[in-house]
Amino acid sequence: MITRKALPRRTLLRGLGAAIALPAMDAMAPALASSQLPGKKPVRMAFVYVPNGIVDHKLWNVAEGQLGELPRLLKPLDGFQGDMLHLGNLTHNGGRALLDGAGDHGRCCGGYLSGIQPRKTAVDIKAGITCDQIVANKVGSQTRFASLEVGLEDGRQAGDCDSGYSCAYTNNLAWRSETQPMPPILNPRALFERLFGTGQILSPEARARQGKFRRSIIDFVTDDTRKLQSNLGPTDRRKLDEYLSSIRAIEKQLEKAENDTAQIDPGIEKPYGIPADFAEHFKLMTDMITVAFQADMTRVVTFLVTREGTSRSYREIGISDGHHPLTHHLFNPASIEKVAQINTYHVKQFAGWLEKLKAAKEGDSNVLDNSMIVYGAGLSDGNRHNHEDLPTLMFGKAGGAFKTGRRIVYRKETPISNMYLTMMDRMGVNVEHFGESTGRLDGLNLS
Amino acid sequence: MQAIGAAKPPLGVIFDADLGNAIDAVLALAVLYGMDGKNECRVVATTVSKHCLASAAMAEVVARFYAGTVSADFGAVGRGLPVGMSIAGRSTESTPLLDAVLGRKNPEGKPVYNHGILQLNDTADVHAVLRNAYTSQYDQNCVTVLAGPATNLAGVLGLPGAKELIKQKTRALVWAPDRLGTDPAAAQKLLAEWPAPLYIVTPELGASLPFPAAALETNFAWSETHPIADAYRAARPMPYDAPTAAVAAVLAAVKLEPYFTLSAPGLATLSPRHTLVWKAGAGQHHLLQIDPAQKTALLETMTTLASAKPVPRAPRRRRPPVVDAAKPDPATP
Repeated sequence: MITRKALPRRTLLRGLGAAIALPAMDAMAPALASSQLPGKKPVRMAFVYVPNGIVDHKLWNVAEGQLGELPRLLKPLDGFQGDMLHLGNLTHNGGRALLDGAGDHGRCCGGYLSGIQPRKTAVDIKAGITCDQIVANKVGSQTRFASLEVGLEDGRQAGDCDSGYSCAYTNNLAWRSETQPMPPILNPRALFERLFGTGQILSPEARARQGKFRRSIIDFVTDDTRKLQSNLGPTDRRKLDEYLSSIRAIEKQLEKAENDTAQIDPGIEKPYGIPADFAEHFKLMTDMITVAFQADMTRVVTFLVTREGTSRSYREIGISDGHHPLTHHLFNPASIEKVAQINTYHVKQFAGWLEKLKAAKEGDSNVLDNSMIVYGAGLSDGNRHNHEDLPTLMFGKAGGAFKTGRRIVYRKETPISNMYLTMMDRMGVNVEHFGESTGRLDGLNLS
Repeated sequence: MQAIGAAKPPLGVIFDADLGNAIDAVLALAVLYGMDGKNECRVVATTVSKHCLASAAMAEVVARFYAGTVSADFGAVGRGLPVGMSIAGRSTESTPLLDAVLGRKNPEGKPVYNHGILQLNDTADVHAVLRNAYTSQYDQNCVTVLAGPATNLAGVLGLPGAKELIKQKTRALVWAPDRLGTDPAAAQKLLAEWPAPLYIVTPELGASLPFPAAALETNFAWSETHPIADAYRAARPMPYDAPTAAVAAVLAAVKLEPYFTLSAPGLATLSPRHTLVWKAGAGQHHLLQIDPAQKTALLETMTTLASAKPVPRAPRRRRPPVVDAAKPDPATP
């Protein structure tokens, strides 16, 4: 007779000011189901948004059908063809002027995940509830955090950022309601504390102890860890070790960033805790999202890589011009080349994250397989400011539902809202219409 | 919201037809582009209710032709409006007039008339095209013209918020109903739910305005290759003077006066035999009527507009062609 009780999925390792959720482990499965996770594996959705469109379709698009060699901008994704859906012709009509004049950057980002056109205003903002938040409202109660909003570039939340469109539109991706954007967490320490803090306010003494001795959060949960390890099999013990090591590695990166005195840009003071290096910042944030997915702390993430319309420079790769001015390149080959390098640089960082997701085992699959990670932009060509055929890649098999490894070109003007509707279906949220939808995306599913 | 101070453009026209099933709708599209070339209106969407690539390709051929693709003198490359096509599975077959135009080859064996529609994803999601076209029009500065079955417009009415949008944006729908048996449910829905005035062009009115086939040898002769002339000759055994209900619908949409008048309001319904039954009284429906004194002028206007030469358009801004690396441009001879 088998009596072993399964470890609850939401077990936490607790300690002073710390609470660490656990990744999926064999011990969480019913007895004897060693390689099976309890019930259905959670499916996650994430949106990674890059600003200012992409530079040239020729450098991005590939032939329809099975994915083979990738074009230049997507080269860093070599090896991920089998995990990818390269979707063509998706359109966001609400990003277009529709009689509202200039302001493509404000419109394209402000309505990207809601599929609507935001109100042209710098004061009484109005956009739409975004698909990630609809899902968060539905499935968020099953995880510690209904959703996580993450970004890499600081930005104002008020004022005019694009021809009369509020900065709230260019600097946020997720909207809880028509009038409530959800500003992204930019500081890695803030994200770390959110994920691994208990939410309790530490006493000055405890805070001092943590700070003075620079102890790892792992140290604070030692007792719980030891108790848990004694009840785990060798596979789970190894998995737990790897998991806690990855958190420790994040802590070390955080400490390094906090001690780093380098500047992001001459004349700009580096915010405390934010790495000066873009790639390092990207890696830190996505490492934490990986842990959050692994431990089922959340299933919904939006990641605004940089603000829409940003003029950030990329000195790390030798580009001192601003991103946005470069995209209006006047067909100057040197400028086009620089934008291509920026676009590729973003893709390269993203590919690094995908590696982590793929390496995070989950039963006999991995976190990437059980996700839908969209990498996209609200503008197609940053020079033309057009809103059709948006650059859209989707990674992961949505828990085995999607047949990946293909480029699918939809009919022209197919609303990107159709993709959101399809993704919401996979998250267990059935909505008849959303944004500008005219139906679901066909051709994604295995059957 | 509408930008303050912006000049209102010419009337926007949304054109939907089962293009290819009769020459009438092809002539209507030609007349529409003729008026567009004179800045009397703007073609803001073209959609076809035939589930047939050749039908969508024909719409693009006509658009490109009137933008000047047949003549290097005009240097135009087409207007870039995607053609929406129904995928409802109705009226799927090609027709002689479509085959004649799309199959015509030059001495080198290449297509005479350029278009970019070879596969389904070269066409557009028809409901999105129609809804998006309405969203970009000034209030009451848009007219919809429908020739044939109501499949596409009935579908748009099913989108959330579409009725309010249409009511806000469009002055009227001008409908030349034909082949309603193809999709009677759509016709019923359109008649019952269309949220703006609906002007109906009866087959009798179309028959009373026969298009003069002789014009093919005169007005259309300026170009050795003319898709409208080719389509006309292939649609039925020549000579014949085609009825023009769809052409009248297009003209009434843009130039109601001085050619047409409207009946007192009433209500049209669909009979079991798939014809419209008219009942005067309360309603938003009207029958289009022709002023007999204007008949000659009207026919001359139709002929002139349908055979109009392409109008060169100044390029809006320098844009390199967008090329799908893996797909050669099918329009390139």
